[in-house]
Amino acid sequence: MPLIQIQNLTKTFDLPGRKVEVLRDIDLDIKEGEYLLIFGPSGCGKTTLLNLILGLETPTSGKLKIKDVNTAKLTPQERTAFRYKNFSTVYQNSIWLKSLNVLENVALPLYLGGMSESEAKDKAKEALKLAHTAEFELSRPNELSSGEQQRVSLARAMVTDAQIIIADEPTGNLDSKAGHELMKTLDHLHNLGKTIILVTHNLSYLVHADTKIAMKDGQIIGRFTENALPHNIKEMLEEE
Amino acid sequence: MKFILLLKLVLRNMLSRKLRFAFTLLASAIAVGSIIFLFSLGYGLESISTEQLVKSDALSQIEATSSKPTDTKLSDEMISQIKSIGEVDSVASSTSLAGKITIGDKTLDNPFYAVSNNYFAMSSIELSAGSFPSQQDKNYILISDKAALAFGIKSQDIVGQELQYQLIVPPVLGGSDTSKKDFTGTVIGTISDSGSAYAYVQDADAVSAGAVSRSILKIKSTNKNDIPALRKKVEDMGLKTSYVGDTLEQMNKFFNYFRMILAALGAIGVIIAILGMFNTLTVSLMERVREVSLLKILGSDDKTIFWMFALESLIFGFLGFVSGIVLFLISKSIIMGLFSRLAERLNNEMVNIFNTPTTLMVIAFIATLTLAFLTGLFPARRALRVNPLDVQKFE
Repeated sequence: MPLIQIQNLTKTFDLPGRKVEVLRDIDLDIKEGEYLLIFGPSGCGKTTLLNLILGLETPTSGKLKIKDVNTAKLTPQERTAFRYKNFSTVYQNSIWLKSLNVLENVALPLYLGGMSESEAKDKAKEALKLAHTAEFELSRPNELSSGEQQRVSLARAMVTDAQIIIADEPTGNLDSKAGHELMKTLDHLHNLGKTIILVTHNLSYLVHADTKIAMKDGQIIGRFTENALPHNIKEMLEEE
Repeated sequence: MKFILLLKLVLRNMLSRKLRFAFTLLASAIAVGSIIFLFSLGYGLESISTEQLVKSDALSQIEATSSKPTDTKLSDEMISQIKSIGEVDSVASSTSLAGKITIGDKTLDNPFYAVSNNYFAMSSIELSAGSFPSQQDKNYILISDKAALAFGIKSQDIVGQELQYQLIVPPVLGGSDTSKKDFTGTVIGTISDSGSAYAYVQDADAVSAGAVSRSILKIKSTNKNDIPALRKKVEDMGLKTSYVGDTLEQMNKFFNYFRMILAALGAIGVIIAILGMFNTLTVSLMERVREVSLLKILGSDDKTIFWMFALESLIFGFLGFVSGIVLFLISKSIIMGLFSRLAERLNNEMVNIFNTPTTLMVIAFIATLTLAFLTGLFPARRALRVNPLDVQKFE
């Protein structure tokens, strides 16, 4: 059974005086341990799809099941708990609790889960080592470069050992070298059996993912496994 | 999240903005300190005022005077009738007379009070020198410091001296126009009063001079709860009664209003402190919207988010209370220090104008924490409504 099952998923936002259909008839299965890359122009619904998977939004219609749980039917508190247990996230702009140092920020998800401070810090140290950022333990996050912050962000994503890692444009603010380093870490996590869902504009990262899907205007317009962008999909993306 | 970790997180966040923290705390401290200062001052002044009233078992006795002195005399017979009332423990009398004191070749007019020997035990008279008379003492006189000074003699030096005095009994007390009698007496003590000149002599002297009625009776009750019944019985005998409890009641009412006014003044400081804390907490929330969104995405439950802000307000309240107490103690010691110097210079006894009952502190503590919590309630509940998707707003 797929880890994530999406069938006929639609998401419409009610705005004053109009309805905006952001996603339409999305069908998608993601297997456990799969590395999925989603790309498409700005505003095509990639982030909304991620938010629905994370349980931060609920679908207008359709089915969304994660580990056979229909998350749309959970209460907000249940969705929060489900998200904590099953997901880790990395965003384009790292967000920190400014009053905590790097180690404490990485340990934060474990604190939220009720773990003791010493145990949480031990696990956080391991995660920082894996992300090659152990030397920044006692620094404040805002003292680090963008690349270093993103690697620490990834360490925070690893610390809870969640099965699914969601990365929304994690290399968006990084130079190519830092971006490359980050992608290597994601590869490593994939090799450890994690399910990775990556949203990016950078088509040079196609080589990292098992499955790639292209989105446009709220729909999936193509699905492929090759490392290069198929011609037909390229044309569809370029169409007005 | 474990409570101790949450507390550490909250404290770290509060201390990350040191100046803002300090000013908010200062406002709370001033509010708490000023409320405790004003209430302590109110209670202190009340204590000083009522202290004199409740000395010498004053709450267990009434005073009786004749409502119609020409008809109803406070005679020996009347005194016996009063003594036979069940609620009466003892009766003392005082007769106010005019007179003169002569020491050597100097004579001065002087008011006299001819009292029964048990009168002093039922009054709050204090001596500056000498002693009160015993039941057996006769031919004694006690004069006030002022009276002694009028003769140019110090209080300590006049004790033991013999002097002559004349008592004049007015018609209302049974005397006639010529009711005067001379006496010789030994000064056995001086009354601590340098404001008025007067003297106390024994009741027998007034009777000897022709007095058939007393001016005032002090009637001590067996139990202060029997005072109302006692008053009724004495008033039924045609006498007027007065009771220090009536004055005390009036004073309590006055001080209650006084404290309300002080509370209103203190409330102004409290309102300012609350507004300051509310502003700090709301700004803190607005600055941390993305942090709160992140916490929600990372899986924080509503309880953690709520208490992140509610704890901040409670900590402000607690630290504000402690700092307020410190401010109060400092200001109290400064003021009492100044009073002490003033008292020393004027050779007066030092008076403590502050009284801080434990209940005041307990109530202030509970009120401070409650107000602090209520102030933090709005930002805390607002934080619960922060959309986790706000984390993406600055992407």
